[in-house]
Amino acid sequence: MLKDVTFGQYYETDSFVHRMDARVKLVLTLLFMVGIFFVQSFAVFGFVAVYLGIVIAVARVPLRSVLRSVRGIVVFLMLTVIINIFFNKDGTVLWSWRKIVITDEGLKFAGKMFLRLTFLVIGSSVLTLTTTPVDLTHAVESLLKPLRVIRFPVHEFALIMSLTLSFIPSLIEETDRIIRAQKARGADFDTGGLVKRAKAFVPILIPLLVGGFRRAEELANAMNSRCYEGAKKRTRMRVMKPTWRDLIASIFAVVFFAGVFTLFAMRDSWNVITWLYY
Amino acid sequence: MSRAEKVAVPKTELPQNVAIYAHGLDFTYNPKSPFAKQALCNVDVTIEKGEFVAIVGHTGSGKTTFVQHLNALIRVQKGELTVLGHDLSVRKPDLKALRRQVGMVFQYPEYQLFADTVLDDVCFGLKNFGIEKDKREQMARDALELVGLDFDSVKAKSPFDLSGGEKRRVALAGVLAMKPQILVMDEPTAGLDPRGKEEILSLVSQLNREENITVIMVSHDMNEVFENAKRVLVFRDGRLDYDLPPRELFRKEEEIASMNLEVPSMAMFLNELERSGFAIEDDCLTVEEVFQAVLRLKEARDA
Repeated sequence: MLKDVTFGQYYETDSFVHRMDARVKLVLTLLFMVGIFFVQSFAVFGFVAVYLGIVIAVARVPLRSVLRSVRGIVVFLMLTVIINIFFNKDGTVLWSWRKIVITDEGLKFAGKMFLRLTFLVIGSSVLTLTTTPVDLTHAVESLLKPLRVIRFPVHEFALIMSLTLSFIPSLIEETDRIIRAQKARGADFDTGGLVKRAKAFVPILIPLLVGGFRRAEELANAMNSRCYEGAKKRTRMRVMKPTWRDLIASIFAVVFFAGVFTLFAMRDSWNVITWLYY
Repeated sequence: MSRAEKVAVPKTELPQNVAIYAHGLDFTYNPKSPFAKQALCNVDVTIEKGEFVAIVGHTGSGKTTFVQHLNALIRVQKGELTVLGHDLSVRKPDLKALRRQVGMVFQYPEYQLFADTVLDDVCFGLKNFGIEKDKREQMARDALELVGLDFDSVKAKSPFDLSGGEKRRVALAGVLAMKPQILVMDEPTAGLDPRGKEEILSLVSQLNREENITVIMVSHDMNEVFENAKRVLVFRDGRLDYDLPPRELFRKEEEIASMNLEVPSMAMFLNELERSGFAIEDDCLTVEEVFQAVLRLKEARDA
């Protein structure tokens, strides 16, 4: 049951995007996230959709797993849309009932908000679908390296990140086992009021916490016994190297976003593209 | 044999002495997904009350899946399963009543301790099953003394301050306190020293003999299976391959090896004796019993 919860939803296959340097993927994803906020019209959202479509096709990840990531924020998405519809009172009134007013501007704004958030999540899910958590932490470590100048412990930070990630599956498994064991002793997690249900989790959380400390201690011992001493003179087995793929992808992405930014900058001054805007 | 050909025993006609009745039990993890894995396949077995049954098999053979069915931690997908008269293939069996009667001891049960004191932890199950407060302490005392701990000196201690072996006994007491009729154990001796193993096993045997508790024990240690169980179920790839008394099972040395299981040292010795023409009765399984049997053989030959 709990095992169905997938974290770090890496989709294993061989594709152009999978083979890219994780650092480049991370930077391009950040660029995409910033870029999506400069999109101001439905027509440009259309272009973004085409761009995402191409990326997903090249990454060879199934559309279903991409859309699954949207499912996680569906409540948040609906709430945002509803609030924007009801509270934006600009433009022509389309429908009203007592104090509730729906305007055309409100609908447009809510629609854009919906697309923006959806594309944001889809875009970042392409990164996590095509990059293993390990590569991702390496990328973070590598990109944060300049911070060493101000004595930020980059290596330790990355180590904490990757240890956290690697503990998650085993903790999920352990939780599952503890739940079963307490259920076998008659524990009931499904009935009763809020307080009773919250209390029912104590017999799960305490053994889980104790187990977590035990694992951490064992891991620390294992690392010590293999003479781990942090960042000093440590080399990597797999050194990340940007290749021609990263160059092509970067050019593709930069050209696209240059277009998006240009359209954003010109949105008021050039009347010819007002049809794109509205 | 297809399922239709089998004579299905209607549930109402199960004899009183049947503890567990499984018929055509199938189970698949993550059904209808790319990760679907069939863990049980057409398992038929009847276990009577008071039996001591060991379940063996390689990792991933379905033995744990099977035992988790017994107190409905895993629900029946296909087939029939009746445990102590509770039909588990229905949509809503009486889980509380069932789980009180079927005690389940998981691997490393000490990892599930959580309460402030040993007494509270042992009482956790009793409380959940609605036993009145004044009766709980007496039942906890009985259970802790049964597992060989001194009630008055441990009751107020934190379970986390005990040694590994003591923790396991407290966890075991937490299950035994409910006075289950069936005791299901998943590798109860894993990670214990030889003496701790011996103590747990003799306790379980004693419960089986004196209290007539039905014992189902999953184990990887063929020696302990051989000495304790009266019947061994061998699972392979989700199927129940063998269902035999230990002596008969471990005569099949080649089949056992092909399943990546070990032949217990005593069975090897007995098999060797048999091949040299010295047959020993099938019910002699422990060192002491075999020793006596060998003495008898010698006397018979000398006479």
